[in-house]
Amino acid sequence: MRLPHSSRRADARQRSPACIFASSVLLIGLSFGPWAEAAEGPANWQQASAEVITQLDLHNVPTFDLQQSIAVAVDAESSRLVQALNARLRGHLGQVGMRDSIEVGAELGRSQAAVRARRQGAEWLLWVRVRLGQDIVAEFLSIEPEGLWGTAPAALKSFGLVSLPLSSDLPAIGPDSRPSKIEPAQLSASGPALRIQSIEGRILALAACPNADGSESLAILTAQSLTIVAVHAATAPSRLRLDLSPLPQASTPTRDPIGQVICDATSVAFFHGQLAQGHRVHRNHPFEPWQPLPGMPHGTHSDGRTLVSRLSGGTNELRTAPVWVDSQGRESLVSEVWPPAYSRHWHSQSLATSLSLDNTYDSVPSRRPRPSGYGATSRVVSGQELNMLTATGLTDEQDKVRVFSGPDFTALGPWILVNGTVQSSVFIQPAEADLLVIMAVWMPGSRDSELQILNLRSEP
Amino acid sequence: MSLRSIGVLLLLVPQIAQSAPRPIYGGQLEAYVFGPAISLSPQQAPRPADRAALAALFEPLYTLSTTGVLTPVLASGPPQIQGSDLFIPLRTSVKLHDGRVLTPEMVAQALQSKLHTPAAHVLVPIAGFYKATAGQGRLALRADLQRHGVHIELAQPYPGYPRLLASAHAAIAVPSVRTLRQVGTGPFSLKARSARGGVELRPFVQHWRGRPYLDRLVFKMHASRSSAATWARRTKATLLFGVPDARGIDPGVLHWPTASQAPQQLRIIRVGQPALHSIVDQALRRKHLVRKFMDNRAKPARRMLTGLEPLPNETAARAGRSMNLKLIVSQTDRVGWPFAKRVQLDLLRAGISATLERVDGSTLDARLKAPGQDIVIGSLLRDAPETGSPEDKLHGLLSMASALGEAEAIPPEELGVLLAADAQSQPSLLSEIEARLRQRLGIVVIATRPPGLMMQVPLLNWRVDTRGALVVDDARLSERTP
Repeated sequence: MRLPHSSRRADARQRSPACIFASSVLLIGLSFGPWAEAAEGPANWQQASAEVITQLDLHNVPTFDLQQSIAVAVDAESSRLVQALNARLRGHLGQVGMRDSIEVGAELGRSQAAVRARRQGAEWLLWVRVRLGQDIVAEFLSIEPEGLWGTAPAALKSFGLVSLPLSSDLPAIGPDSRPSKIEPAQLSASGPALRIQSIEGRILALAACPNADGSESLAILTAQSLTIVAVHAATAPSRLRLDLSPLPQASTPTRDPIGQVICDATSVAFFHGQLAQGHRVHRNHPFEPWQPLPGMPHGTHSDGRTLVSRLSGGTNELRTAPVWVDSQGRESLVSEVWPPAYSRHWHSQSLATSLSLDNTYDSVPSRRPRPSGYGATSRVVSGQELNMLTATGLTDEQDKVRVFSGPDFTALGPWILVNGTVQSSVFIQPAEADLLVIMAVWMPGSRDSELQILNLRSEP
Repeated sequence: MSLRSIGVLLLLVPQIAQSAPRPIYGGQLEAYVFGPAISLSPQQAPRPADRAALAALFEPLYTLSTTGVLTPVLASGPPQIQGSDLFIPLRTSVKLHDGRVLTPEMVAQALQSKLHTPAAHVLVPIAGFYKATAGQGRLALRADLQRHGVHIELAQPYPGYPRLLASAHAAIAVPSVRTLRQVGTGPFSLKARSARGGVELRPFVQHWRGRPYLDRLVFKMHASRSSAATWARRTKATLLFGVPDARGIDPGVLHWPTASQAPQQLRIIRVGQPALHSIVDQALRRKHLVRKFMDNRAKPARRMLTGLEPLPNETAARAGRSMNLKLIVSQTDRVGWPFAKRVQLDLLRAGISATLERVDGSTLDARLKAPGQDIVIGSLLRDAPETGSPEDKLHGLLSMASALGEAEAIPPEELGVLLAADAQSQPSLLSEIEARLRQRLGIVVIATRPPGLMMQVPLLNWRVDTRGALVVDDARLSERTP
């Protein structure tokens, strides 16, 4: 049951930092859909499991007997989620009096799960399906006996169907509930990085996009799509998706995934190495390409001009001088303006070492270098710079990340291992007391990516 | 704009995403090859070096992943199979090396053109193959422009056929509009060919997946077997194909992945006279030959398909025959002259007298296909992955028959029985087919062995695929770490 707005605010103020962390994670997960596996520990799946069992109302199912055996099959994309949900469902079945419950695999579909359940002696099957962006669907089925010859497929009869909108009963913290001003020096990274969503294909870039109301959205660029998802639960969960496949493809595409996305309150600019050109899209509808860009966008000036550079001949190297593009599509060379030292630097750098505008600017002599590459990110919080660095493991399968604060690079917490290769990351602020790092992680041995989240907690 | 305004800009620029480390583009790979000139036609891919070069230049419709799963390359998706009808959807906007766009007609024509070549085995299950081979009909294969793909009618339902399209010889090659050569869609294009048969390849920037990371791929020809051995011993070579079996080479530098599904090389003898086939088969002391003249990775064998245990060696038949035959061996043969002399001795013990004759690699290839009355020592590289599946074993047999110029050596009725059989009876049927094939073609198998390949550069992301090709599409010398 959703709490009244005022009650929610009061409730949020009373929470401990740990609770706020859990809730913040949930908020982001919710905005992405019910895949928020952050709740493997917290109460999210626990509540959902209890609700499934409650709504099925097993005691009133005809012919059902608590002494019988029930098999639980969870069909979900993540094996960790399957395990987590299965354990919780079986726990709740035990609470209502079921003594004999078993777990069966659901990866081959409902019929095969029933066959497996029947072979293990179960009379009932609880089938639960969890899909990205959809409600949880649970079905309670009776399995007909095998028969004399045991060759007939398992006949199923449904005795209950539950469709559960996971997000309906969860509390939320809005931007108006921020308790105090954040102090970077007091932040500490706690706990491991948690997976919040799996994404098909490789995430090429992430960006935090400011909204008009002060909240933020997350821009996710893959080779196939550009997606904007709301991060704050107080704002209505929203999701804009642009299919990139109809856009003109590059005649000399880049073999390794490479891309960039930047955004402001009104528009998003993006490019990746398979596209013929970059594009700018409005964040309000229609969410479709509005202005072509001659290459990879790096930043937007307040007067609307965008800094763009081009890739060199199908490689991941930026060898062409960056140009400014205004709303009329006119260009002017940056080298007319910037110091020659900078231009030389720009021309010689590959994308790997120097992609962001502030990094290249800082590499001008007399300026301190800032972290770059390998999914590093930085943000000014309460006037103080916060940096996250990534170190690569020997096997390319496991990176570690660490957050530093201030000009002296004070470490906030230890190095934290990440399962996978951190491709891109951003700091976002769902509440002033907490700061989250969202990372796009390439999974070892897979073409898919995960969004993982690190919480930076404010110490009082 | 001044620096000050740039500073203002920095405050206004929204947060910018950062990027992971990137592979470095550039560098070159020099491969040294000992043997005949590198083949530039996917109809002829007899050696690992040929397959490596061809895999860089040409692409097939499908490939097999490291786990043996069919994966589209020039096809845009899995084949659509309905009974004996097969439709292969094609990618759009794939560029050939001469700038044209690959069309379904080109693909159909490229497949048709394999009919009278050593690549003909990829067409065997297609309806009309046997008649077309005899010049009496056409293959049931056509371009489908509306659906942008190729339509194939098989002689009988055979769901395993698409795996045959993933073989090294199934790569799509199209006649060039500018030269007499064939062009492909591979990640590298041909830059130059040396007088000695080596090739230099450059990255193809319009490749549909993007240009490869290496800037140059060179296959240089070695003048002699001893120089190859010297290079291998002195570890000067970066990449060496055809590493000799000579002792003294550290097996650790031989990098052919034995545990993978990459095909092994078969050491064979082809007997021109059918009457002598069984005598030669009995006469050879395989264990001795392997132990004395080949390295410890070679295994004695009597059959063409792996997965079948080699039979114990037996006493040589003393038929008392004496014939004036030639025992032909290549000058560039990896196993070499002493091996041939030992074979000659074994044959002599069986009553067959043969005079040794050394020929160059090209002549040996020709004699292997047409031995006449003589006996030829050679080797074969299967064009099918080393798996236990009957489909891949059948494709291996077909490829070996085709490599010897007799793609139709397995009669249609035998093939029909095999394809119609259930899974349990297929292994025994395959054994029978193989036995008849060996008899028909006069093949005597001596040993199997991984091809000699030595890699001494810190190359990342290279692999030997199920075709037996060294694949360097995604290979690079190093990665940039910021």
